[in-house]
Amino acid sequence: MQILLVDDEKELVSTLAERLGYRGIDAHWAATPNDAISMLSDQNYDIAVLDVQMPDMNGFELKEQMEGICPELKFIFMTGHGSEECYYEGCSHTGEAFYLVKPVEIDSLIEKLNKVMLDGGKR
Amino acid sequence: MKHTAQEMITQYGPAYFGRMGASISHDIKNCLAIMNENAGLMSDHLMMAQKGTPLDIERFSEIVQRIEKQIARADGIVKSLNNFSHSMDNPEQQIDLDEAVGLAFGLGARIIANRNININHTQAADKLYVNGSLFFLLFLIWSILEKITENLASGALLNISSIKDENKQVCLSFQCEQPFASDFGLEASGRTLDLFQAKLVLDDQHNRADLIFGN
Repeated sequence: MQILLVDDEKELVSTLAERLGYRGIDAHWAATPNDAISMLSDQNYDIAVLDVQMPDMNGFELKEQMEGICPELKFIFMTGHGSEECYYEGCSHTGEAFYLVKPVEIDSLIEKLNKVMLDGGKR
Repeated sequence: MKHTAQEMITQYGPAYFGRMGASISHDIKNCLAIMNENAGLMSDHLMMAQKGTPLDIERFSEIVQRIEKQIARADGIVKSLNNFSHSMDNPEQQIDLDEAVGLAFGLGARIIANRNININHTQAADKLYVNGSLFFLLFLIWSILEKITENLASGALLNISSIKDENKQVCLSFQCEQPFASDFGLEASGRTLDLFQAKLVLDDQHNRADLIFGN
């Protein structure tokens, strides 16, 4: 399973990638939406885990762009923003099961990753 | 039409508190998320050590420092929240203008960061004071800041400086190489200007706005 984590909090994504690596999951990370888009041309990913609020481009806009490049890519959203509006928008993009609120328990994230790989998620 | 402070609190207070609360809670969530991952990483390393992998003390120390950094960050955010919560305690007080700018920006930092605007705040050499309500001063500064940054291109640099102008009036100046929005009408802050007997002067190029206080 190849995972791309995208969040402007660099210390969060880098640590999360390292921890996923210890659990046998190959996770790369990007701290900007533009870096994430660039990384898609170098490597194939199965799932992108996107922060919702980022400078320049929010996670939903990034999803649209990433889908344009990699139509088979699946998505999970991760947010610190707990508004209802944000929740419903996130769910409309991926389904309720694939929307996580920070701080995220790693076992819960791995469970979601496995579910997305099996079910494909709502795309 | 003049509005009393009470009318304005009723009209704009909840929306401003809500918007800042959302910005702050988002940042606190990020701090907690980073602490959570780093605590988890320490736990992973300890588990590996229990299974015989030598513990890398330098690496472990680096993780501890990351957690300490986030604790300091969260502490700063909560202090700002506390100051904001007490901003309505005194309807009239002497306010350090640069402290108020720092607080107004700190509260809405996430919103500005999401617009990818860089703020450079230059403080006055000597402290400058404004008399009035801290809550309304924060609201006024934020309203201007939010309006100005609304249409700036990503990556723009906004310079904010507090000065005493040629008429010895306290002035907060917002400057950018790019022009601000052409429609600079601010209904809410327009009313707040009255509370400080202040005026907002936009230059012809629309890339500098001076908030000049009358009191």
